[in-house]
Amino acid sequence: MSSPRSGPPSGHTGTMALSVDGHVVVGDLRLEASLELTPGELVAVVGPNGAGKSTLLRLVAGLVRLNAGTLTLGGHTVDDGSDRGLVPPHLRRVGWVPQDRLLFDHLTVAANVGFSPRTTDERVTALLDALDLTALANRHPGECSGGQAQRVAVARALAAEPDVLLLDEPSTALDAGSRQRIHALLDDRDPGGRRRPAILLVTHDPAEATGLADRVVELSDGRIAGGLRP
Amino acid sequence: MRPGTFVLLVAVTVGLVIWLTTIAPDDNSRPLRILVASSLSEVASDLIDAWTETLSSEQTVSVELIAGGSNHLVAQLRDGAPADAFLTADPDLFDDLAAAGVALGRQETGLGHNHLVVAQPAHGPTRSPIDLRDPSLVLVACAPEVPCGGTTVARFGDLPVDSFEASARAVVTRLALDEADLGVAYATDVSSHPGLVPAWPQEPICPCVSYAAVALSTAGTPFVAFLADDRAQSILTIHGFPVEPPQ
Amino acid sequence: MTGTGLRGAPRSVVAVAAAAVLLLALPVLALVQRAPWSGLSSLLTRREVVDALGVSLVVSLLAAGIVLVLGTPLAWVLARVDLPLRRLVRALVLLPMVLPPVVGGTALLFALGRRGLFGQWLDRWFDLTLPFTTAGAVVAATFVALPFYVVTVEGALRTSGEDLEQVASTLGAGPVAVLRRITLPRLLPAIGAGLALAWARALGEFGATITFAGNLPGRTRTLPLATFQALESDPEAAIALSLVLLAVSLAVLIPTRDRWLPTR
Repeated sequence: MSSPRSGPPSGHTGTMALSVDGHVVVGDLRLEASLELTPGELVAVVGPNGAGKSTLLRLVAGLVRLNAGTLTLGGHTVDDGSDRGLVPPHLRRVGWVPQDRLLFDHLTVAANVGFSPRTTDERVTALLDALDLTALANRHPGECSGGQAQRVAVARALAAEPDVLLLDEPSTALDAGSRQRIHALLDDRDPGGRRRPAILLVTHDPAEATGLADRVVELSDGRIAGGLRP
Repeated sequence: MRPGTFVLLVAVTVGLVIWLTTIAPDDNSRPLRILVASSLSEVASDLIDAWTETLSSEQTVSVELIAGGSNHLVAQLRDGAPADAFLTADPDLFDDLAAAGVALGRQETGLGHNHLVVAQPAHGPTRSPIDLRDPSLVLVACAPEVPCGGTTVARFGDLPVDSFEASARAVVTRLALDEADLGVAYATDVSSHPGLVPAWPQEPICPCVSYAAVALSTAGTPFVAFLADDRAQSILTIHGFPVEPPQ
Repeated sequence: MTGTGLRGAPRSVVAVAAAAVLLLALPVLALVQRAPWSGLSSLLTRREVVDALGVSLVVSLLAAGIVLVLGTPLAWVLARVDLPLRRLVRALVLLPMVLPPVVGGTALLFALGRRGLFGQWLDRWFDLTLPFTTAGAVVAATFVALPFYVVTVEGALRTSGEDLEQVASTLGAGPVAVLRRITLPRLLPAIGAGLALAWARALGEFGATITFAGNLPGRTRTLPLATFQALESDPEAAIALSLVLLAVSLAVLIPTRDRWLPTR
């Protein structure tokens, strides 16, 4: 079940941005998760491939349902293991950046970033500017490099004003320069002029985890364990 | 085995199978093939039975009966389909066949006549001749290109037809299913089908269709010759084909 | 486009493929060879040819329209929804493809004819009859063409997967918005290809049309029906009608069918 966790970074009291305590079974994989995130906190989840890290993110995003347990976002229960208590993805305020990025090829970069109904034109412009994407605004994702596409995906998720941002291996397969830019972006507490959401970052690179995160959590044998300060 | 060799082997096998199943058997072993207009299909099978009874045991042969619209059958014969005899409602078609070199001369045998009747489904409401021109009723008739259609036009002129069928049998089917109110078909078809009745009392009058048979090969000649026999003529009468045309 | 040139391909495979192409091309070549080219223009302007072409175009285009409206939701449900009897439904959808068209037409007659299972109510309550009308020909054409469209679109939906739709929903787009902004725009190539196939099938339909809708010039006599009829009495007109069908079909199929199933 839950393991001892070190306290929140700044003695934070009040609603957790994310709180999950339960388990999910997907095919052969059984994942037990017990985790809390305070608003603005960046938590990295490390573990070997296939351990269930992506499943954890899909669970928070609402693409996978808990078999039993509770998942709350901003204090509201969005998943209690039943069909009735399940809040669908489009009603949760999460931003999901999957490993394949999954940009919309048939739309321009600007249209991708501005896709969410929750965002505004001003916010889109601010994000494009903050992430150095203004020059690509009218291009299509097919014309972007790996690093550019990654920034577009992150901008798209941020534009939706999420309370929790879910990043699945954001800098794998990127060259060193792009990786640095992504890290700089994630370090910024104020991207595009707004307070940073809580971030759940999945990576198999422990160095990246300790370099960016407020806390590092290990996922092994299908369980989330620990909450170690770097 | 290399993939190319395998593909070649499959192709050769398929080709062999196709060739073996389509090579025509020699004349002695193939059955006698008789083509008839669809309205004649029942009487033709009785005629064939009667004829095969007259054959001695060494002469017995299997007979294949193929029925269809006369024009359709002629088209196939013109294009070289193998057959031994042809029975039809349009003796003019024999000219086509002779021109194509298919018929063995014009040795015809008259088979009798058939006249047209306006029919309706058996349990329909009472109708009268004015209803034939009523556009709100569903009327079916043979297409003008087939013998019964040509005769319909000659007899009734221009009718408000809702569908031109490929044969008199198709007209009968529409009426039998009660999908049409009135139809123009052969008297023999109407009288032999329990689901149809003449729409009003009608005298048999012409223009009529005449049936005739022609031999298409030496193997078919004995059968065609048999049709002139008394026995054959009585079978025709039993099926409602008057041998003499009505006045 | 990837692929080896003709030279690099194994020769025996190419040889058999060439035989297959020959099987398909030979009847077309024979048709063109027998065509009465000198009298063709007067044949093509004949009343019965123009009538048949008109009926065929109206019937096939209306059928294509109905197929689009009915077939798209059906394809979506088959691909995306976990139906309890999915196998049965899919078999039903494919049935008109394997059923001989005349059987299909007969079944339609028993269902929607004047005395049909459902048709008798149409007749009694709405005074609506389908047999012997152009609407009936449209119904017959729709019946045979629908599976071609559904199979194409469903295949494309399955191939493209739900990933992008999932991302769109996490960004806040509800199910209808996802359909409108992601699913349908990406599906357009498959919809176009499926429609072309369905339309071509509707254009060539014969058995179901003649059995269900009947045969009347100007109302239900489509090009295939007119060709069949002309074959018996006027072969030259039959060839002219066949050439019209051939030309119309090729004109639509050649530009739109570069691949069987458009991939993303």
